[in-house]
Amino acid sequence: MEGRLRRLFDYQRFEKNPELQQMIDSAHLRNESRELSLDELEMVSAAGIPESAWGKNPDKKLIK
Amino acid sequence: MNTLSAETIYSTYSGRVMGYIMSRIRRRAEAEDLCADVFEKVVRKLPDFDPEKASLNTWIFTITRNTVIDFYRRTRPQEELDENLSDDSEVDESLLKEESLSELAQALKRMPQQLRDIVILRYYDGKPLTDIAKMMNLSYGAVKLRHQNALAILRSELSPDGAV
Repeated sequence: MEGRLRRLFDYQRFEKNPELQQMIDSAHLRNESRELSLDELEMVSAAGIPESAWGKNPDKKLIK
Repeated sequence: MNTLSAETIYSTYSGRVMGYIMSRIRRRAEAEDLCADVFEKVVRKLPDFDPEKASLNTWIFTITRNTVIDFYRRTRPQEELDENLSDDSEVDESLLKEESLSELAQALKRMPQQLRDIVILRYYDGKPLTDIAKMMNLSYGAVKLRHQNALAILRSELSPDGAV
């Protein structure tokens, strides 16, 4: 059964049965599980301030 | 079969092929390259396609899936392949049709929402039960038990393998 479910859900990524897709999207919304594309992840990363911009110990920057 | 032109196949299947690859690769530039690879293979292998062995849909899906697996093995050999892609359990390929997905959708619809979510997170997203437990604020034991209940329901609701 587990192999069958894996294969069917993999096929769903291709076939996109609308009723099944609606349940998948709802489950993701309820459980905050939507996967970001790597392009989206890069945009999120670019929008934030990377740790490297502060150095390993940001407090040290304040000490002269 | 040879009456099908490459243009007809491309216009019918390019959305599905690209959608599948994007859901697996998640980077548009690489996905577009792979999509082109898939249609190059489809056109090259078209004379060998036997509609008695598989539907055109299943045949193109299988080429797409194998192209994605090859991509991962070639470019990210150190990474573990997604469970759904690496799964090589004996599953009748004739199951891969729209009717099987409708049947699965109906069975999931009749299931309590929490069990349905566990099935989707486990088998669509490939998440381990420990992660699902955290996401749902449940103990691992509770998720494990509900996962077993969900599988038992699906075993009784779905047709035997290959019978759909």
